[in-house]
Amino acid sequence: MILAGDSQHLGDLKLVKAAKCGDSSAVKDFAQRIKCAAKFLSIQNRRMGSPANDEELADLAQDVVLVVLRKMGGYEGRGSIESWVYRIARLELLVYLRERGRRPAPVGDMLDAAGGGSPKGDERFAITVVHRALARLRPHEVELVELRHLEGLTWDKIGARLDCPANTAKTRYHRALVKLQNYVHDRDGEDG
Amino acid sequence: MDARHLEILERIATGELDREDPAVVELCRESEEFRARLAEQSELLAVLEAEGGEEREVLALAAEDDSAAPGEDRIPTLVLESLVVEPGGRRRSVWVRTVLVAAAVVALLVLQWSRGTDEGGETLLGPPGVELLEPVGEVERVAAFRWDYDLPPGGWFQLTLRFDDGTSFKTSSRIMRAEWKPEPDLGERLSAGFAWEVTGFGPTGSVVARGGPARVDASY
Repeated sequence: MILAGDSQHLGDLKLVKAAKCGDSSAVKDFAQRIKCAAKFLSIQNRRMGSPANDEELADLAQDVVLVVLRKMGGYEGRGSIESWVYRIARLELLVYLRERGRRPAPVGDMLDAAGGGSPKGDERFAITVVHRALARLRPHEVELVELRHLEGLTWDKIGARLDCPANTAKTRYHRALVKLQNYVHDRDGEDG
Repeated sequence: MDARHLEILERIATGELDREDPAVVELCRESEEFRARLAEQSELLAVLEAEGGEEREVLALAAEDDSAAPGEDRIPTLVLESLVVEPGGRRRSVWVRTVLVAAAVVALLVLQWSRGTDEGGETLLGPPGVELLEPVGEVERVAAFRWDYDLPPGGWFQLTLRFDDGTSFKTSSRIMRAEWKPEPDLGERLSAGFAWEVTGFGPTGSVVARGGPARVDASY
């Protein structure tokens, strides 16, 4: 199963570091693990109504791998390798489609289903902006957002994970959220 | 926005308070700024929730999917080639590189032997390295990109720039020489950090070589 606990993430961190240092066994294992990039692109593309063809997806998969390789030093093992690769693949695909003016239909449905709208009237643009804003947050801030929205943990569990009371976790989370909101809307990140 | 507004926004964001709660409705009537911030927050939370759900679903689907996705087969070769070269283009591990080169030579000989003759003039092995010459590392300015690789007759190069803001640029016309001068409108973007790569294509359009990425930090 791809979603994994902390212990595997620590293993993932060791694997990425060893691969980055050129350890041949680690490089081979790492190469196998990040093959999922192509699968993520293909599945997401299908869910969006297949706006990209197979040739484009194959090229994109290579682009994603190059971004992954470039960002290896920034991987901190907070999520699994697959989760990390997924987010890079997601952003690359969205940017690629936006630059080519292709609209993936279900993204809008997804936002509607979530009860939200689009800040700029372009859902794909909004998602891309949010991903880029997330990349500007500090690691501990991203962790809070991920624990809440990606892992879907309760506040008690988030507090336990971060070794702090649930109320403290809530306050820190909201501070991160305000900062993210400011980045999304091109304001300085620290106000609120 | 005062401390009370922030506290209410926090309670809504953490699920303690419903945004339809009379106290929230009243605050929205009182403060236009609060209303606007609440709308922004709700939109952001909707995107985060939707993205979280999408990620969980795609990861689960990928875990169950045994079919080969487009480009999946090329990934291991690309990773192996890239991780034995440092971002600056220097060799990281001579030993690993030597093994890879030896393996490529053996595979080439096997391929040539099995074909008997060279049918198309192109070699379809895992692409060897284009050597990126300049710019690499810290430079004052970027006047031209130069690299080293002998293409087969009829082949061409494509250069890709990857900027630190996550965007990228690919040359659209075929580059016939191992050199490319950036278009004037790229000038400003090249004054910040970026990485570049070169892909070599054979006459039929298949990839025959790759180089990079090489990291560049211009200081002008």
